[in-house]
Amino acid sequence: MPAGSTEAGPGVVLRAQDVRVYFSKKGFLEKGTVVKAVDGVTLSVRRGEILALVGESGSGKTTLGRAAIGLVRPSSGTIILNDGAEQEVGRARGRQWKALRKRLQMIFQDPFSSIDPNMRVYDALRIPLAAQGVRRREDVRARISDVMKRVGLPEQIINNYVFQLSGGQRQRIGIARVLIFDPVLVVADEPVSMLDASLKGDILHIIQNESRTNNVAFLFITHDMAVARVIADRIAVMYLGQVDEIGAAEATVLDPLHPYTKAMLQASPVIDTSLKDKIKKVNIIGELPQSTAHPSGCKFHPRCPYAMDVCKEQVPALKEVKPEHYVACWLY
Amino acid sequence: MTSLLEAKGLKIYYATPRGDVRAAEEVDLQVGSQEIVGLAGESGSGKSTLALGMMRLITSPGRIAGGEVLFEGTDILTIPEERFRKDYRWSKMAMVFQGSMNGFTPVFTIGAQIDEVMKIHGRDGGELAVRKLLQMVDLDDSIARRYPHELSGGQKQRAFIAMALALEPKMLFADEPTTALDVVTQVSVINLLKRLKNDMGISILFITHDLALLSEVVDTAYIMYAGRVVETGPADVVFNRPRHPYSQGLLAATPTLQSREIKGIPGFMPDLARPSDMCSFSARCQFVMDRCTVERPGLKRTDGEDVACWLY
Repeated sequence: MPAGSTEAGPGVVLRAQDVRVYFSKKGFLEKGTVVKAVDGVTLSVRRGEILALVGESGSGKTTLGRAAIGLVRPSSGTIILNDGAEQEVGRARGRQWKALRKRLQMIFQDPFSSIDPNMRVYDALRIPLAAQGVRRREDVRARISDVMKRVGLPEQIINNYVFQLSGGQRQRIGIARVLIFDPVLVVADEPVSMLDASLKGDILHIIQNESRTNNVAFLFITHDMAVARVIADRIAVMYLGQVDEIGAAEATVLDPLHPYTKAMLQASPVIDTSLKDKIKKVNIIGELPQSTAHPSGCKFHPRCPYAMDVCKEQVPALKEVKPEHYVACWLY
Repeated sequence: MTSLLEAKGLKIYYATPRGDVRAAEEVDLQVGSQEIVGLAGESGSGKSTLALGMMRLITSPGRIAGGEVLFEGTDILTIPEERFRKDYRWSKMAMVFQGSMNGFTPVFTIGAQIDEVMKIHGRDGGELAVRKLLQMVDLDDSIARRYPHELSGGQKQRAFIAMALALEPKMLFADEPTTALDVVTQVSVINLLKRLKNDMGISILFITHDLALLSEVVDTAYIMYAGRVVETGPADVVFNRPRHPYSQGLLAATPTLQSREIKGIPGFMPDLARPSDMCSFSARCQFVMDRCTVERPGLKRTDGEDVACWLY
């Protein structure tokens, strides 16, 4: 087990240990085929940190996020929450599970489908409070007004219906509903990918602010390296259910180690008008293989320009190549 | 450069119980031959409406409320629909959408569907023609015999572009053609668009909200806000030294790999059903002056580009 990235130190709120999430297909023709959505992930999230999970669609980043807060149960491996005492997320039942759920929250991508449009803003925020046993009117009012301030919602919309609000305001409510639980860890699943550029910045600032001032840790799921660079303290790059590289955001973007991370960065658009007549080259071959047929050895080897014999046979483990910068690649 | 496609004072309104929503208001836009023109703006700025309007695909409650659209000098808004369908739509100007990869019917092969487009429009079609089109978009011949569900998102998007090219159009509208794709796949589609321009001389109107992506592709850029063009010029001018405060804000709000800084633009777009005389961006603008709230600035030529702002 690689040290650093998985240490159980006091700063760690969540530790995933060799987590696998497999789904079996139930279709008539595909009965018995297994989709390995998450295939052996070990990582830890530190208190108040923003860890970005970056990968293409099908890389398993959302499934890992859902497993982290207990929405899907790992097929094997453990997820330990360290919130005062250590607790295994997937094993909690009944009361224990209810208490745990409040501390682990999720922000969804689509603010239009994740909040009931026929609810008033007040109720959208009151109901989660009631679930925590906060029912006294003054307390409810105070908590709601506090959380609305934190996400930048004007007080006067409190009696508006959700359907009257813009996408940006709805996403703020989505975040407010999560923060009102006082969570220790929030999984934010592409929270800005459906928002306009003019709104992205504000939402990212809210998340950043919560991590700094209220010590909320975020597992920030995105397909966009540029967004990850802006928001995250550390970046973990996922490919076909595994973490290929993990390190400080700055180092991962400016000095990437894994050939896949390099390719993703080459492919990411930047403001550069000199590229207009150039054909952009990306050092990567073909497309993501099918979810049911993962390659042997290093899963990236069929698309990797540096593939060697060892890559076809043996799975590389995450290795600390530079301080706090891990990569799973036979080149290192 | 002579214009292949030109919109002059184009107005597109949607009728609502609250009155007309003015989605595009007095828009002037030109696309030269063998040119990629970019159209950017946030959702609701009118960029997709504009493309649909120029393809004459606006349906009720929307309508073209004024202006003209010239294609090779002919006003295509005045010719009868039947003639437009036969002589222009898809044969001279085709369109690729964000979700066009879901535009294939699942029950026929890709090849059969591309072939059908050619036959309906009176071309010969046939296996050879289909194969040529697929090669043009970097797809293997075997794709012709496959069904849509057997292809990846990127393959389907390229197959749809092949279908858009089936009648050898001169003009391609590409509305967020890569938004649903992964970055690596996105690069292959963008490279394809550049090749269509360079090798086949096709003009493209590329619509996206992603300014970084746009900057890597286009010759000329238009920035739209609240149904109007607020800034337009050569890409290197618009992206490297934007003048309009909205363009500046939009660029500062675009996350890029180059920096950790990102800023939002506070406030909201004005209600397009309530036309007013002021600059539509004035409520959100940090440089707002008295004049901005009483009189709307028109596009004015300054330093090699056009800006609609009283600062200049």
